[in-house]
Amino acid sequence: MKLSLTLILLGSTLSAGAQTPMAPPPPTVQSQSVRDLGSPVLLVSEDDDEEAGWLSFGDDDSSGEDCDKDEEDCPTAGRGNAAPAGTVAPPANGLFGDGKAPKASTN
Amino acid sequence: MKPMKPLFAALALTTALVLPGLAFAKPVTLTVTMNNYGGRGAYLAVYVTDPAGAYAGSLWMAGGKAKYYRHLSDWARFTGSDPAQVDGITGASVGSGQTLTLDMDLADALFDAGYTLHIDAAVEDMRDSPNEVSVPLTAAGAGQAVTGGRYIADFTYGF
Repeated sequence: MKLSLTLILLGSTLSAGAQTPMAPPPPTVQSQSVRDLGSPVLLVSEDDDEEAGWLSFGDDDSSGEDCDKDEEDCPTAGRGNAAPAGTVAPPANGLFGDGKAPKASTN
Repeated sequence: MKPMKPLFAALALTTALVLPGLAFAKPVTLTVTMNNYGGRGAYLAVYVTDPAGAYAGSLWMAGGKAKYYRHLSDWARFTGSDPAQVDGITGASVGSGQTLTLDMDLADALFDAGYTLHIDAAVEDMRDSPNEVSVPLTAAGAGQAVTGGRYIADFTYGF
């Protein structure tokens, strides 16, 4: 009786061992997967107004996407952002009587 | 006749050079009040066209990311979305319900001479709105509120 029970236990153990390669990925892999899935959510929640990508900005855009400055068909390709007020003189377009930059406030 | 002293000569020369600039500049305040449109900060391009309707120059850009300038479609058509047009006159976008106040000295020659001030507006995930405001620059128009379109509630300029 004891021998039969031992054989059954041994068989079960070997059977379980044989199934190990078919088992789900180890916990470390699962954790990595969860982190990967979670990253975009965190980025979206931390976006501020200036950093968000305007992927579907406006209805007049036929492509539905905004371009980056390094894209060839982007009108601002190869040109950086405009210099903020106060960092350089305003453009000499003849509109500003004394060449001083405008002062802006928002409330 | 006695020769003019060098100090007086220098003073007269600098006065002659400086005064015309001051005489032809007018302190102007532009006020843009936004509707409660419920979206993110609006990009605004404030610019001027001449009596022939040609682009004369920009006065202000609200919004710092040049890659979005093409959504300010009339301004973009005039300028090719060139960020250099708004170097030194660029600030933050303007939020829903907020009021943007701009103080600047504008050339006198812009008023009562056929020049028109325009404002294009654009908001993320919402319709672009070129030429929301189009108002002739006249002395009589100072202090008169102009109703905007989609995002701008009203616009006023004053001396």
